[in-house]
Amino acid sequence: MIKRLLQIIVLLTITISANCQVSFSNGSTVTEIQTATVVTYNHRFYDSTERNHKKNGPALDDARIAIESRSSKFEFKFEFDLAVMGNAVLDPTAPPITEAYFVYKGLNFVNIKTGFSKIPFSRDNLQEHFDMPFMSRPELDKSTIFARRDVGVTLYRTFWNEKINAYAGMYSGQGESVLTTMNDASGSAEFAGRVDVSYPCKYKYIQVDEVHSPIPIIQVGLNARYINKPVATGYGNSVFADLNHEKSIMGFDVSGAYQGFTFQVEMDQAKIVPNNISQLDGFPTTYYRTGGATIQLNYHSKLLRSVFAVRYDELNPNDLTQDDTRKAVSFAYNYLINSYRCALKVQYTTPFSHFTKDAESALAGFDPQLSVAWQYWFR
Amino acid sequence: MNKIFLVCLSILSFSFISDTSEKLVPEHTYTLQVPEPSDICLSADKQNYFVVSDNGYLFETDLQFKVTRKADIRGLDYEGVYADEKYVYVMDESLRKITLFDVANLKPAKGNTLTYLGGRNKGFESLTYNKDKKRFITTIEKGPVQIWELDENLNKVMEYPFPAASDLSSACYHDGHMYLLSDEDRKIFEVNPEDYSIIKTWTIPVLNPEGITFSPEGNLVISSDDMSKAFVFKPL
Repeated sequence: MIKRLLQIIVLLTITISANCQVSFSNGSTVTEIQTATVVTYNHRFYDSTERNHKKNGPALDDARIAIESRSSKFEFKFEFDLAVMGNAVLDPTAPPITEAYFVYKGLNFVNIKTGFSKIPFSRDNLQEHFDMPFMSRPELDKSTIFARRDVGVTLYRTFWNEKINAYAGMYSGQGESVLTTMNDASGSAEFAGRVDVSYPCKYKYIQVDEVHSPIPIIQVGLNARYINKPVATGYGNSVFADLNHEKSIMGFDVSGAYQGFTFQVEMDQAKIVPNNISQLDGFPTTYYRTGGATIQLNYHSKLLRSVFAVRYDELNPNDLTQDDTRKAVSFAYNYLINSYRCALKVQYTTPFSHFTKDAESALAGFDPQLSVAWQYWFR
Repeated sequence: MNKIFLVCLSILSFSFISDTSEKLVPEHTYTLQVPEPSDICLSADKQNYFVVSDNGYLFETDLQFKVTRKADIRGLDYEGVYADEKYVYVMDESLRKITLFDVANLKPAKGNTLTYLGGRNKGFESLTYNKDKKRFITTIEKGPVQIWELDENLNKVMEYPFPAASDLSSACYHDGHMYLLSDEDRKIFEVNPEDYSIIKTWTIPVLNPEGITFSPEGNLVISSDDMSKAFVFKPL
């Protein structure tokens, strides 16, 4: 048994050292092929009376391939996820295309990004999930109250030696389902913007301080978005998000790093005027609020090649409904075989309110769950 | 609960075990008016520094790091710079291209493109000239870390693995000594210019160090990309 285990480890080491990412240059443009594969095993802790355990088992979470080209004047990226194509029915809010955009950098004062990509709202949203300690994002950032991607135009630039990042954009408002659904009858758009400031130097959108910053770095971000769609056809993938009429969201985040320790705090709050007045629960009002927060602490140990993280997150779907705030605590351990390019991740999430052990629960993340993942990420 | 506390304490204790390399402390710090400075070198006449940036710009500064000139042409991702009496040699990491700028007017005169198919952002991070072997030197940042020797025509003639570092971000030949800089390890390696075996190691308290050179007086100069600063240390 031990011999077999050692053989597997040796094979893994060979595979890991392969460095599969490839790039080509013609002297003025470079094109790179990137890949990512994440295999997971999920185990939910069901009641002994529950006979439906279909959510326990292995899964292919990501099978991504990306082609990225860059020159001094432009960038292009096309990324798709083959893992979702294995589903019998494609979820329109989780399309196989995850990025398809073009950036023009020829103007000195601003860059122009157009295509299907992430909306500049929420620091957590802007970060790749591959180099996060947790396999799953907090409920707040799982497209529950806002769509993460859309087709549109983003203008962005940096100031003060990249300590300030500023973004502003206009999008279809259809969210991820824009790739499969026509716009609604109003044809109206969504507007979003974000500004973040870091000090005393620039701070990338990371959650783990693998280089152990010798100085404390802090970043504060503010973002907002607004949409008015009388007949929304698919905004976000939440069970309660696709019935809204008018929505404005404000978000705030603060994060920092020092000597391997990092933290992230994020709060987002939406004001929603619904089409479906039943969401107002009979209150004499025209709107309700939804939102939540997440707080996360992480520590990276160079010696142990490990990351330890703990996260608290909560989400209140409707402030007019009593006692429906979902709260959860998650713990993560990552073993970084080759940084996050090859890593083993373990996550345990347990709710302590709105506890459901329903196997069909739409907000499935709120079942207590243990997940193990192995990821290869060549970029 | 006590056991959990002890385990956490042990993990933290192990993590703070430090290495034995000598720790250097900067004596002076200068702000660089260069976005994302990724390498620095002293001019051949020792009157200026040349600084390149991740955004594909080449700058000349005075000895107090004030910008005096900027090349008109823009590359993609400049990561290495070396200067002799006639040219400023600039390495574009992503494009795998070395461009020779005329020192007199900072206009591109000629260049050469190397072949390397590794990751776009894990390519050539440095450029210097090894006078002992009469060869240009560049380093592959990571995946795997390598030292490449180039001939006078900037063609590859030899490669050496350098597994001692997580990455290499800069290289500098100074007064018969060869120095390599690691960004992620925050270390300087003095290596044998003949075979690149390690002679001595220092640790520097600089975030994201990407450039190494020496002042006319022989002080060590380190440029930091994230901080956009130059740190001046005592001579090694």
